[in-house]
Amino acid sequence: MSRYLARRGFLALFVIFGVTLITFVISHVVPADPVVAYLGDHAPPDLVVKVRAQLGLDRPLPEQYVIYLGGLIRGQLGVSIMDQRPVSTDIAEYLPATIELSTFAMLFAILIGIPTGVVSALHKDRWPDQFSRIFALGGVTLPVFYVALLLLGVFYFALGILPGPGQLSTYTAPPPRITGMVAVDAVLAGNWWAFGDALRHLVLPSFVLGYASAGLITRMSRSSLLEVMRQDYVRTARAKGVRERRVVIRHGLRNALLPTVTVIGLTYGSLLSGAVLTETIFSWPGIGRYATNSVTSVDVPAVLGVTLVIAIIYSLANLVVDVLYAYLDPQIRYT
Amino acid sequence: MRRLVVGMVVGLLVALVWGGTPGRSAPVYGPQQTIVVANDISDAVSLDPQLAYEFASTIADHWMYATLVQFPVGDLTHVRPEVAQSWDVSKDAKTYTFHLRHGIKFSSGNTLTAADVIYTFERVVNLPKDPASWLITQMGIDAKNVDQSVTAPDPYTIVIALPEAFSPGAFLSIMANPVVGIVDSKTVKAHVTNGDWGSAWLNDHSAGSGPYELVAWTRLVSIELTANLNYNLGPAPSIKRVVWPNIMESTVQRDALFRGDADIAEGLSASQLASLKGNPRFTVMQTPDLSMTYLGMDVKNVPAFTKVQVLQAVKWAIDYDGIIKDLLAGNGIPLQGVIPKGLFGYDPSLPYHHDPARAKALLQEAGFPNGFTADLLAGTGQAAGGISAGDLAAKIKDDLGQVGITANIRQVASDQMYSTYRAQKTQMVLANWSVDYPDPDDFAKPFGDYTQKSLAWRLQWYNDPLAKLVDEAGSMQNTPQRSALYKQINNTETMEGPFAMLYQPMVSLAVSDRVQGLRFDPVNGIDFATLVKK
Repeated sequence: MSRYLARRGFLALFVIFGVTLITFVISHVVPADPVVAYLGDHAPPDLVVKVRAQLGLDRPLPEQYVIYLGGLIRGQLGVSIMDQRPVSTDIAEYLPATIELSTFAMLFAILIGIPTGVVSALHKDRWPDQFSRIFALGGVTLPVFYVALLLLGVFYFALGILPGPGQLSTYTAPPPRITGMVAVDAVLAGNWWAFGDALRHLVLPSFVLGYASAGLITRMSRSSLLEVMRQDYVRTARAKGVRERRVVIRHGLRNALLPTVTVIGLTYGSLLSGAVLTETIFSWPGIGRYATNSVTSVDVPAVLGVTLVIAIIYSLANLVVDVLYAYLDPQIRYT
Repeated sequence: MRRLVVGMVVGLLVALVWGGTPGRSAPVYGPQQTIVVANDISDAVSLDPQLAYEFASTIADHWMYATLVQFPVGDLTHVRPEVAQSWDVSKDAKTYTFHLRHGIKFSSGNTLTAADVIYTFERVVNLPKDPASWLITQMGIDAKNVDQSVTAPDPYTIVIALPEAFSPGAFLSIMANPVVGIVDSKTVKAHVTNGDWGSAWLNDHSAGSGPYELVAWTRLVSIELTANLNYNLGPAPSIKRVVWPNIMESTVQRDALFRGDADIAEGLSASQLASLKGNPRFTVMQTPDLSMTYLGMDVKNVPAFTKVQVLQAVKWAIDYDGIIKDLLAGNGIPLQGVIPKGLFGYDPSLPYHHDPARAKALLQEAGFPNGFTADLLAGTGQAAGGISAGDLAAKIKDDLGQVGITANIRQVASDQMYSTYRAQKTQMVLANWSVDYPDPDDFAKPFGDYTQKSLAWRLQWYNDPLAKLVDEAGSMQNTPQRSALYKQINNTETMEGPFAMLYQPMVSLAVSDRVQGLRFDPVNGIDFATLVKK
């Protein structure tokens, strides 16, 4: 296993190097000027020239890339043009909010997706199955911003039972920042009011973000459970007189979970990187918002930093999924 | 038993989530002393007053940092004393002497003296990568000469000696800009790290003498100010806490306003504002913004635009009323000169209206009876006044199409649009220009003086007599002669210029009926110091 992990880690390095090169080239050939984006349209041309030199953007592209790689090797992601802080500081500030949101979204997706998939498989082609199909289809096809605005309109604007955008209400004092995840920090500070407020604020955005994944998980658990339930050992278990619930959970579900875990792992990676719209609508200060801001303001170091972090997250998610395979399926062993 | 435990855990969680009363751990100031302004504040880059150049950060800095002079809210034609109680201007408009008030306190409790003003100017010209620095360096003050240009003969007098004459009106309006918001030099110097002039520290703290100080700027989340308890430049404000939660989506801003989570929404679209009118719970307050949206025509890249008749034909072809009434739903007012309403030198005359027949006749006269084709560059986002830039471009295309001019719309991200525009590579461009400092010079120069390498230069319109006139008007005080010069400048621009002014957008606020006595203008923003909340 350790040899396998080392090989995967080595391969991931190549992937990450490729990502930096592609992102670097793309972000430097777009026909927009990061210096003008930073200084604003009113900046006189001589100021643009001066700041371009201060940022080192007047140097040849290969030289800029070598400087960037040199920084990466020393563990530096560069300095953001827009807020003039190290990109690593920015990412450390924004990533926890996204991890918090994505984790809750994943929990929603699993808690909704797997039971719905199971019910759907056990009642194949009957109304619970049709209902779950519509639910799953909605998750995969409805645009995130539409679902977000619709749910905000119903639960916040019309009914007022869930809070609006943001992580906390205006009149809730934020807990001291420890992990950067407000709900976790509130618990660590023993501030239960802030914890409750943070959880309430998490409900809508995590549901919206998790809905698409819930749809995928529903469909995946349904189809793999149907597949498993046709296997001989399930028939044997039933023949032995094992109770149906036990057959489904012990013999069916555990085996059916394998492909579902793949979906969950990959979806978690995409949740972390794909929270852009949800974070925008719910004013969630996560990496998605940071990425959007960086892209729209042509903040090249920030874009490179975010892309790199997302690439690492994806590589890790893939690795975790593969390792989980071995855990869930004793037949799989890595060497 | 297991079910009972699970039930209890779930019940406890639900009780925690729904039963928590957020107010219990609220800060000292409650809703009556707090104003929440829903807006998109993602543009904030720095809260250091000498670095801030974006809308969100300059407005926050405006309320934290007092300046030598200030514009009264609602009157942007005359400055009033603030930190300086009086000032003298030399006859050659090169030397300005400010006499400072005694006993002004910073939020730290330190007393403001001339040393703080000098340190403030040193910061502006020395901070690297400063987007706002050009406001000061354009007057000839830079890192090399700041020691000689800004001096203090005594602790309560500041003398600013400029190498060249600069319009007193423009100079004083720049002195009211947060770029020279006076910082507490003792406090800031104590927080300098790696020669950064205390800039990193000033992003998360404030060191000013304005009515408010910074509680926290959580990037992309909110900016929060609280009353400066040492404020002694005016009466203590009744509003003790100001919060700008960062809400990008205008629909969500409106929801927050309706739910009472926000008291003011600042970024609603034209149609959302129109739907609020008539609702007794809210007031829509509007004032003309100091900006304009225009159609620029490059006089070199498109041969037809070398003819003045063609430029005029475009101006006659545009349906100004349709844009203002139908697209903007009243969220804009007509403007055809280069100086917006609200500033000295504004010319209310509207020489052009929608007259396709006249436009066609002019095209014929210019030798283009069958019209011509040109690209129309527009941004992908919003145009000023809360409408889509794409909708506005489509309207212009339609209007020009009626007189035979084919406009091929090219919509690109605004950064790309401005890069192309700044490189003199456009044919037609749909853009906006807004105020840096409230003086006509801030508009006449970019639109008229190509030597500034601003808007006139970008459209390759090199009009030497006009540039001279703009320069002359810029160096004058607000006298009838200055007004006459701006009239002449406006006249040349409207008759010969490559800019078809489309409208002056409104700044619109949707305000809850809990808020009373609200005053605002496009430079000071909302006057938090005088409003009250029920």
